[in-house]
Amino acid sequence: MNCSKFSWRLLVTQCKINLILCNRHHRLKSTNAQTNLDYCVEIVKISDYENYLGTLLLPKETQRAAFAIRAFNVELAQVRDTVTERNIGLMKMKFWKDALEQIYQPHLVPNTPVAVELAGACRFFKLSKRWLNRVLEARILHLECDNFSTVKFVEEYAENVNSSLYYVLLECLGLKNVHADHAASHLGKAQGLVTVLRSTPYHASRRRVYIPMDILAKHKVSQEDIARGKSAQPVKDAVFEIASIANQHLEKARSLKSSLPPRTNLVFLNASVCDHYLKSLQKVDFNIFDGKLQQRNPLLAYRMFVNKLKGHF
Amino acid sequence: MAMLKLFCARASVHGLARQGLIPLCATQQNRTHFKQVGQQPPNLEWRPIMDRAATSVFWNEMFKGIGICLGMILKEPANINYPFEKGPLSPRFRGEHALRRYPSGEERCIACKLCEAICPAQAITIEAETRADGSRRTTRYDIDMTKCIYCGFCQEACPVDAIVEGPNFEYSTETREELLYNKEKLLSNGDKWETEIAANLQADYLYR
Repeated sequence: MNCSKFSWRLLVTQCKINLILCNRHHRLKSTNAQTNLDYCVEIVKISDYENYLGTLLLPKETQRAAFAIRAFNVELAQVRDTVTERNIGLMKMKFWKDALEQIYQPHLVPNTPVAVELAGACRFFKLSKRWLNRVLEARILHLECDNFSTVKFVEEYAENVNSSLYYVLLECLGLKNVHADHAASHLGKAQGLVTVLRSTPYHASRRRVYIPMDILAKHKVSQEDIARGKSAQPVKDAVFEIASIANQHLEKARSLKSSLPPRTNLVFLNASVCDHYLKSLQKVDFNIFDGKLQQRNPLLAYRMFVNKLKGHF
Repeated sequence: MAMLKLFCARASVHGLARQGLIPLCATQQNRTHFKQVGQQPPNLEWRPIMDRAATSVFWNEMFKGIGICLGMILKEPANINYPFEKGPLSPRFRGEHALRRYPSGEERCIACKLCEAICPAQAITIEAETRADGSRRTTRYDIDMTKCIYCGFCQEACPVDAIVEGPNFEYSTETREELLYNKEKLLSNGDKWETEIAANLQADYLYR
């Protein structure tokens, strides 16, 4: 009696395990219809939420290409933080370099979903290889340096990474305009400087400092102060200086608004991210280690949408 | 002689003051009820010795013991009920290897062989071929878990996040052969641990 009860229990447990396994299998099968595009959207959504929102506001016909470009950027941007040795990072970058070469050779099918989507976008919109290559080269160079010596270098890096992505997106929308490129350049720089400020607590926790050294030296702040998360007055002054340079770039980009062709503002909707960060930085008195700065802005999507309707950015 | 006289006079005046004046000017306590505060010498007769021994052995120690026991019962235990409870694990924990799939069910590994190249223990063996649809996949992906030193370089080198070191650390086997993992084993590990692995590989926004 006891024995049979036990075996019955075993049977029930077995059935439960089988059910769980079946469910898992079923889930795998049911998601079979998901495509490479879904994968790109997913990684942009997880790792780059703000640009995900921005991309959703682009016109339908360019969204797919924009997601591919953003996903490519996400893949490259995460290389430095996932490796402990520079050579491994360089290996990964070499992989993406090869993938980019493959994309621009007709009849070759790349292997990863991001590369497949990017190849589709590049071939459909005839995007120039130059900009994507520039993003890649800048990221490779950034892999090799552990800090920025001057603000100029940060701006150059931001120009190569963020602005290049804007140029590609402008190409997707078929906008070829000097003023649009000018605005993209300034906005990219603003975004790069904001990223440097915003990621400081994250990098400080890993004992890396990307705040340009000339500004640190000018305000007599040591890298150690930043790495330890100090918020003394000199640190605040240094942050204020970088924030005001970022603000100047943002204002400059916005001042060009009147001379831009219509629909250009759709590409630049991410300016609200910089704007919101700089404003909240001012509210917490330029203390970059304040916890409020790391919170997601719940009104960002609405602000971007309103900007889209109004034709602002 | 005069000096001696002077001394005598002083002594007599002093004596007068002690007996007559001071009791008049100040209240003075007469202390007779003393208490011994130092350690008293133990009584070394047989009977008291036996009493003391019995008290200390049978009662004091017992109550002290019970007190400690009660304290321990009320204290939070330091150990955990291991196979049913597990201690906290870092998201960067490097445990058993797994090969991941894309959400569509397609395997991620594209046989770029970067993990094979970077592996310092040379524990990974890959053979690849091109499929009918033109995509490149592995036909063989073996990891010798007895050679692996768990440095995590394979995970770092993988450009498509295919090979990962998951959070599982309970995979002891009875024979050595079972630790030579092949592709099927690694893929099934990936299916089993995907939720945990995906949760460990997240960032909030781009930091660069």
